[in-house]
Amino acid sequence: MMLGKENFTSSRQIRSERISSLSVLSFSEAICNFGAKEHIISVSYQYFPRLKPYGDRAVLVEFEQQIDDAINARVVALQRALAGTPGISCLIPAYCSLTVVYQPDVWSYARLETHIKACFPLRAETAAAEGRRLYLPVCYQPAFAPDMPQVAAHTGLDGATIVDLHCKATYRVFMLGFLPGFVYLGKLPPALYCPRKERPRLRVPACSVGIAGFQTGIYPVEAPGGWQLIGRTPIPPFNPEHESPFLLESGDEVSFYPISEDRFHQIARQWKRGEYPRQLLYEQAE
Amino acid sequence: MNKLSELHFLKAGLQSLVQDQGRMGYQAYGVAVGGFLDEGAAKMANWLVGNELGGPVLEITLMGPAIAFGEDCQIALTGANLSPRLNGKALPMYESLHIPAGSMLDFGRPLNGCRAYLAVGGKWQLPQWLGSYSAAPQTLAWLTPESVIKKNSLLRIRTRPPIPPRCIPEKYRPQYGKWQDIRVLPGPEFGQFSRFAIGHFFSYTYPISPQSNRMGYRLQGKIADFHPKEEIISSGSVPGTIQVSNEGQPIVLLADAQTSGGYSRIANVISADMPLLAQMKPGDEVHFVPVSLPQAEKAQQQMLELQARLLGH
Repeated sequence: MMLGKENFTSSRQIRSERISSLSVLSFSEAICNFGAKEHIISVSYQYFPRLKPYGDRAVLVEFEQQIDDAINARVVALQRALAGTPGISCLIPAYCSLTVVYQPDVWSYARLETHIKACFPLRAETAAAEGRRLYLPVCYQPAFAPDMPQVAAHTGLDGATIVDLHCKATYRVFMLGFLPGFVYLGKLPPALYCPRKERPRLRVPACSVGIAGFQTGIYPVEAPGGWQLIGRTPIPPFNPEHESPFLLESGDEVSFYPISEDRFHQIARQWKRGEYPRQLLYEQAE
Repeated sequence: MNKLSELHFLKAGLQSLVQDQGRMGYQAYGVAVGGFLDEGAAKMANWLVGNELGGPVLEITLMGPAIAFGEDCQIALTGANLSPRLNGKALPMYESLHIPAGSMLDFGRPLNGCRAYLAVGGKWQLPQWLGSYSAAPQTLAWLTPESVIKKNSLLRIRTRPPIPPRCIPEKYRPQYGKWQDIRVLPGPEFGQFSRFAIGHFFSYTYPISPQSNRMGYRLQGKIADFHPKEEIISSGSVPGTIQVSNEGQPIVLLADAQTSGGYSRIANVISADMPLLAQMKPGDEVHFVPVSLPQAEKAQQQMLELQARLLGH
């Protein structure tokens, strides 16, 4: 589903590649892969990332500096390609960059740089493997949506339309950060764009669903925060006591559906007891 | 001979945390690495009592706790000299020590450095979170309650027979300065700073602000001629990154820092100098010295070789 978008943006990206980083490698890569279109994420999209030392234990791989589904898909594809490499101690995917932290007794910067470059072109199957899609229930009732009036005032939409728009879109998990399990989801329908609160709240309750700028997100724990709160999900994105504590990861796709307060409490209770059928997370709501 | 020994904290001290080598591998989910800030000193402490080098130690910051020992223990103290005392008598550092049951360990004035490491021989009995005993960053401390020492905390350790006493030779014990040259590499956004800003950054000496913690050291003073770009798209952070706030204030990220950020990164502290930096106190002054990547890699290699030679690892 992302291919169309990639092709749409490709000519500009090719130009920027020519200008900013036309290396011998990326050029020959573009030529030799020309005939193998279907196996490559997008041949026409051979923007070669820039690699930089990031201290003496990390490599920063910078893709085109734009927040865009297709660019983020390449970040995740590179993350998957490098996952499990001996001597790489962690990978931090972000919107349009990947931080690769390595063990200095295994890798030198120069050797790792060569190794990372050899991952290109990124293979289509690596990208295809990322396609988890989740459906999360959100209660948008006033008790959980303290900023709905402000959002309505700012966007000129009524509450029902805001909920409708927020639920209609499919969001990509661009990255996690700020707090363990905090997901940056985008992009919102432009009609919902709203600035952050001028005065951040000192305590945002866990599981609050907020919007800010072009993004929406879920607070994994109670924390200070400045996003406009329009609802709450009974499904915690962060379960520290679970063996795999994180519900979502970069590259996942998420959409929301509205539930009543009663249903919210019911699901929250089920989740707490470990009785919520997890397959429901992957099924579109009725 | 394997006994369960209880360390009873009569005083918590300013900040006493259980730390090990950290929880590497969960940064993609927004979890800070954490772990001991002075890796060299912490590993020496573990070696002196025969524990795994990357295993848990107590990281004691400036004002130490008071600890009553329930059973005989083998311990070692390294890192900052915070005037350790056993039953009121001064204790040596950087050597294996026998602590008889019923003894009281406490600390006096901080003399040199910021963080002391206390290792106790045996298996520490407290829960891990994501494969590490390290205390979670301050705001998330509730995730690892037993790794954050409070008054009347009990730390249980399954002790074993002591190893033959060991000692770190004097010349290998780090000395921590109030004024320190710290070597750095150019950061990812180095090229966006003007020549004047860079010249100023390397000639200025920055005092460490009291608003510093394990997430980062705020430095007092501003980078001259700094014009922040309108928007930097957030990307991953690593400890040692020196980022510049929109007001021009440099902040050095430490082990508990968030895993991503959106500020300009002027430089990165080299790994070999991170322990020296982490031992600096608020008010101490840091001066940054640029080095090349090969120089940083060489310094790191030398550090690893020294550790291998000294600690047999």
